[in-house]
Amino acid sequence: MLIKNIIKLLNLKVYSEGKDLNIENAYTSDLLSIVLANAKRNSIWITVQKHINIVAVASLKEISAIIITEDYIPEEVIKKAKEEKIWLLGSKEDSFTASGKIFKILQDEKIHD
Amino acid sequence: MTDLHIHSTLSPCGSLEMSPKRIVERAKILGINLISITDHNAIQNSEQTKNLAEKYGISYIYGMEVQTEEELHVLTYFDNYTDLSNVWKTVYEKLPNIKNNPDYFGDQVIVDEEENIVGFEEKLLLNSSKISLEDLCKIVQENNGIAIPAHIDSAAYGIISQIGFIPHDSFFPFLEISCEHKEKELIDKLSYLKSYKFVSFSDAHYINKIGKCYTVFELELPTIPELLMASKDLNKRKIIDIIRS
Repeated sequence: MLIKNIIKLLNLKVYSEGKDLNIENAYTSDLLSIVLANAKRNSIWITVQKHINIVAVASLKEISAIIITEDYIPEEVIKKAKEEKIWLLGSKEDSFTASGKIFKILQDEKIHD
Repeated sequence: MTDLHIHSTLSPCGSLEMSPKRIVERAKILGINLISITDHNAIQNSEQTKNLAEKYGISYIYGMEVQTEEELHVLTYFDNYTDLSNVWKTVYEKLPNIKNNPDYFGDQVIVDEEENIVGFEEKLLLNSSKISLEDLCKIVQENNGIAIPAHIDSAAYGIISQIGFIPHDSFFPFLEISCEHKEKELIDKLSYLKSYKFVSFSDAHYINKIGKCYTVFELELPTIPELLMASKDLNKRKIIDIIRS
């Protein structure tokens, strides 16, 4: 599913934009080292981690979009994400709920393919 | 004046001006007389910094800042290179084989005493070694070292942010609090911390941050046993003050 559609379906706030790619995978974790080890490229990453290093991790792993759940996003992180052209999205829901919704969206799409 | 948390060019986030020579020169100007280089999961700039420090009349303790699998930062210190190297080998072996991309994280540069670049570390150092906090403390102790949780007040990579509280059975002689906060603020929030001794070091990644905050100890010698005595207020060894500039 295209990122722009996921943004609409989950009612996400857009802090930084990247390319509107088709997303097939998502990953949820707050430990950067785990994301470095396991996240797939062109995926969405759901996390509460707001340290600026999340942008470097997303760049290195070619993660397309980061969804920060539950909380505000520091200005420096937004600035960095804009520089790297990575989608930085805010969700008012918790990680469990956001992940569940995205899981369902991606599963439904696979069934219909 | 003691600053035991300084990053060199080897840390990806460390500025390229942080060569052993520049660090030692800066410490000399500031009057800091005990330093340690604590790079992330790495030690290859240690020996040359110690050699230079000695030439400048500055004492040096071997150090490394380890990132454990809980993604928290622990400062480790040793009196001799063999002990440091033993612990580093374990930490490095357990560090995932992910290549650093300098565009995102910065270069990881090994520099000699004359500021020549002698090598690059290829593995991404700002990552977690697959070693638990508990196991790290164990091997540090086995190798005659001490471990100090770094910047425990920090929202990322701090022991409290990562695992909620400090384990009761831990053997930390000190806790490091970053330059920006005072231990009293923390103890007001988390009263169990009052049984610990606090230190502050600069965590400098840039030359002008060295000594931004530092700890003043009363020690006979710049060694691990002396620091341990200071942590227990034994034999007149103690922490005199934490200075934040």
